[in-house]
Parts: sequence; structure tokens; C-alpha cells
Amino acid sequence: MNNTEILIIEDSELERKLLEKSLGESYQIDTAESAEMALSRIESKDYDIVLLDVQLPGMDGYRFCAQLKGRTRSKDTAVIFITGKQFKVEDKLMGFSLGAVDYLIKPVDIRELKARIEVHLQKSQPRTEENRYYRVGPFEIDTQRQAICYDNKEEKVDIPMSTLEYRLLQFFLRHKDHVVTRDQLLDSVWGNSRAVTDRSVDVLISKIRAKLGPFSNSIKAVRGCGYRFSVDGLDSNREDSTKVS
Amino acid sequence: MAVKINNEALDKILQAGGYEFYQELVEIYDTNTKEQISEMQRLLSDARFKECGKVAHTLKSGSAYMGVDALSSLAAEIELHTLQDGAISLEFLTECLSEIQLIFAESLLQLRSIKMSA
Repeated sequence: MNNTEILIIEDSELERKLLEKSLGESYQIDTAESAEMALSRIESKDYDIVLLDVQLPGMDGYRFCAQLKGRTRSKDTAVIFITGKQFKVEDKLMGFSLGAVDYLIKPVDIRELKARIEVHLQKSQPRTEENRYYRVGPFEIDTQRQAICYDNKEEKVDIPMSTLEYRLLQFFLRHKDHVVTRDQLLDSVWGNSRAVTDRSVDVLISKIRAKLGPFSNSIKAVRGCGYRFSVDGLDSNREDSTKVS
Repeated sequence: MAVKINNEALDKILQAGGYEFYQELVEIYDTNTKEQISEMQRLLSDARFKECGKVAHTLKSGSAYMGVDALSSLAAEIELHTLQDGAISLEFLTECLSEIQLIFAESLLQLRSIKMSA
């Protein structure tokens, strides 16, 4: 057995036991029968992989994923959705937009699941100086310093930001050209904090806009939905999200 | 009624945990499925179709893991029917649920009849 820590979040007792037994000889396994129970697990322990059912009693898998990815401590945890939901590509896209690395339909073949787990473990290497920085268009993100700067003509301009502002802007950069809802932003940036409202999102976005100089119009309100981050003149089909060497 | 159990699914359970584990899962499947069928009957009589579909969703995947594909397919039909935009047919859902009960009774006998030497 290796030291890989896996959290299985599944409300069906039968399926939870089957996954636990099937993976237990190879990995360290914890289980939770609800997202709420899983939230308390991740408060006390870090996991390499989370196997997540979508349809759960109470908080669903998508909201849990957003919360998990919104925490600095667990944002790099690989999430694999396992769901019996009637197959719709929109469901998969929702999972991927929230940061999931994979999406499997029940009943899952355990050999395939193990193979996918291994692939994701190989991909997720410890953070080093090499992958400290990444770039989205004119923006450069320093994940270690939690700082973001942008290119303006020949110079780099640092954006002075609070921790919340950094988390919000980073979320937008990771979801460039996607419409994100206020609920997604609340879950991802504020996590468990209850003392926030939709208005909190709007205020924080106004503050960020004021700091983006020539890119102040990058965050646009999408009526009835939320917000979209895009940079004018940047081809959204171009591969422009790269690591900085 | 002759219900065909998917032996490939059972082999996967046996490979994962052996015969004792298989027996444990059969008992869990028995308890949970009885509860789910009762819950679906109650929800149908209250015309709470969406909630009935959610229970069917859980029954669908649990049955697939236990190799009871016919029951899984019927549960999927109930789930799909409750998710559709058109009119809900109580008669159709009730028929599906009655068939689920018959299949469950037969499949449970078959699942319990599988023996294996230690």
C-alpha cells in the first residue's frame, strides 16, 4: 500500500463499501456519506484524490468541488467525479469548469478507476520553482507569492491585492471566457464563510476592476447569470494559458 | 420469472473482497433496496415524482454494481420519466415499480444462492 490519501464521497452505502474495499489495498482510504461530512474531513486532513458523487443529500458534488478548490490548502487536490447521473455533456463540462480532472459514469470498472488514479497521481507533482508561475494572456500568476501582474507595453505591473482579491482574480483567470455564477464565486472564494452575500461579490469585483489598469473591462457582468472574464483582442481558442519558464 | 444476473459484475465484487465481502454487500443490497422500494411507493402515492426519481437514481447504480441489470434499467426508466418535461404518467411509474419488486425478489434469491468454497 502506498501513502496516497483518497477521500470517497458517496451516499450509497453499497457503493461506498465497494469502492473502499476495491481501492483499500492500494491506497489510504477515508469515506464520507455527505458533502458536509467531507468538509469536516478536509479540515483535518489533506487528500491527494477525491472521488466525488454528484448527487448527494444536502450539498451536491458540484458545490463541494467548488468549496474544495476555493481553499488554498486543497486547491491542488485532484477531483474525479463518479456519477450515475443520466449522461449529459453539460454535466461533465460543469465538473471540469469547477476544476475536476476526470469524470466517470457508474457502474465504474475498478481497474479503469485505478488506472485513472495512477495517471492523475503522476501528473500532480509537488509544487516546485518550475511550476510556481503560470500565465493567462497578459497576466502572470505567482502561486507561491500569491501575486498577479500584467504586461503593459514593455513592463510588468504588479496588482496590489488582498488575499480575497487574489483568490477571486485567480478564479477568473482559471475560468477565462466561461460564465461563472455568483454562487460559484461565493463557494470558491469565500468557502464556508457565511457572512457574505451576492453584494460582497459585486463589491470585490469593483475593487479588482479598479486595479486592472488597461484590463479594467475584462470582468463583464452577464445579465441574469453572473460574470465572465475575457481579455479583448485575446483569441479565446488560442493556447494562452502556459507555465512561465 | 427468470432474471439474468450479470456474472461479470459479481466477479468484480468477489475479486475486490472475496466471498464474505460479497455476502455483506448482498445483505446491504437487500436492506437498501427494500427501503428504496417502500420510499418510492410512498413518494408516488404523494405525487412527489422528482424525489421518486432521485431514489430510483440510487437504486439504478446499486443494482448495476450487484449485476441486477434488469432492475437497474427499470430504475433508469423511472428516473428518466421523472426528469422529462412532459406529463408524468403515474400508471407507467407504478407498473415499473411493480416489475422492480418482482425482479428484486427473484434476483435476491439468485444472489443468495451463489456459493463459493472458502
